[in-house]
Amino acid sequence: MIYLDNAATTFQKPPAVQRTLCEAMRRYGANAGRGGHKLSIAASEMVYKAGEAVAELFGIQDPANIAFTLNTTMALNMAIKGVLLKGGHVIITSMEHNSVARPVVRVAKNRYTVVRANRQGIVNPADVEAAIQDDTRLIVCNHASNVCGSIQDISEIGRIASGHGILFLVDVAQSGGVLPINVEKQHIDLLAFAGHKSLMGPQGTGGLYVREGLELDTILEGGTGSQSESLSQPINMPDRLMSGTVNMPAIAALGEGIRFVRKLGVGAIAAHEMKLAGRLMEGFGNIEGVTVYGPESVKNRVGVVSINIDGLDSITVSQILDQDFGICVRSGLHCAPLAHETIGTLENGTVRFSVGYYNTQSDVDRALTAVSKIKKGKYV
Amino acid sequence: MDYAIAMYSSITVANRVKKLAANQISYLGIIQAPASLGVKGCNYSIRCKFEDLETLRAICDKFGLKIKAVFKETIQNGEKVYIRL
Repeated sequence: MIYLDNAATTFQKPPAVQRTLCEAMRRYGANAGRGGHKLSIAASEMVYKAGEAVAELFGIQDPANIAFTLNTTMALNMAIKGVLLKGGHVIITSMEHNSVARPVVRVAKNRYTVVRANRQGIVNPADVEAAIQDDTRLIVCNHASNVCGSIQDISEIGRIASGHGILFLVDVAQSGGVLPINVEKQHIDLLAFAGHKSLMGPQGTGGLYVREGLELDTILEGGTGSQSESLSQPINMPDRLMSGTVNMPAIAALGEGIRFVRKLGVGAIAAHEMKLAGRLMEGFGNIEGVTVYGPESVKNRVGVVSINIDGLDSITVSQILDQDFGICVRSGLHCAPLAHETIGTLENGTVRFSVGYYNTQSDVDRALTAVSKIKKGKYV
Repeated sequence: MDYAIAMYSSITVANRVKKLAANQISYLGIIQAPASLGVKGCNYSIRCKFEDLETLRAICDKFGLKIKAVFKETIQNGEKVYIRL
């Protein structure tokens, strides 16, 4: 099989990640922060070390300001509702995933503005600034699109948000581990990340960074292993946002995944993925009847390349790729209807090829050959 | 040997102190201090040699890490005794 669905979750994972996951379950699989015995302390240290790895990657000063979650969706819900439960206007972009759009629609009612990206999926930061209202409390921006790979200028949008005293939440599900991110330099108050994508951790991992001193309303309360005498949720991070037993083995393995990424270098991983994405774009561009979506230059995108083949349903194409060519891709709507509307694919969706660190040029070439054959009807 | 017990609000803070102090203090361990010491909560604490307490305090001050309570752990008449400082 050729796996080109890394935007959904990366596969394979580094050997050290696999080892750490197994070792955590075998050697110190106790409940982190829920006891004073050696194994519980060891488990809590592994969670802390994973927090340190996240902090080092994203330029976060104190690992305590990172709450681990099950995924990016949970982190985004915690951030959006944590800011907006008391009301206020919110700005989102038309490239947002439903993990942003749905909680925003629910909690903000009609007090939200969608800033439209252009047909290539790029948002003009000036449009974000123009959408600011007197009671705007939050700007939410997807760093890189899971639909067409387009990258937003979060540094500029962060500067605008900071200048207006508005909180800035960035969804880095597709960019964490492949694009440089620094919460201080980019004026990011809240950062939601996926652990299981380019950070190379197992599924069931993600997290939310909350700027020092920012106190979010909670959407989940419970045991935190701290201030247990109180019936109120602690104020201190990460306990405020981390109730219940954490997924310690997976978080420990995520820490190892991030160390793997840092050892290789975000720039080197990005260069590898850009090279493969560029080859895909060029190859698809040479097949008549294939439409490539998103930015024209590979420099403005992560390793996500969405296409359609004239006259063919996107889901049918992915089924043929799977069954006849052994190639795994995602098709249809990628949980981001606003983005599909923006790039003009709301009806048919797209066939999404997403490369990762473990893909090779040969994988890409086989995908190109397969699409060419499908277009010519020569796949049976 | 006398020890110092510095209590923190959470295991995360205790882990951070342990990490920050690791190169400056010869012995460090995270423990859950006894409930009988009268400090409410889960009592995650750093236990270090008593002679290192001031270094520990200085590190906590430098990084803004609040110590909930400090105790001296000593042996009197063969019994472990905690003295609140």
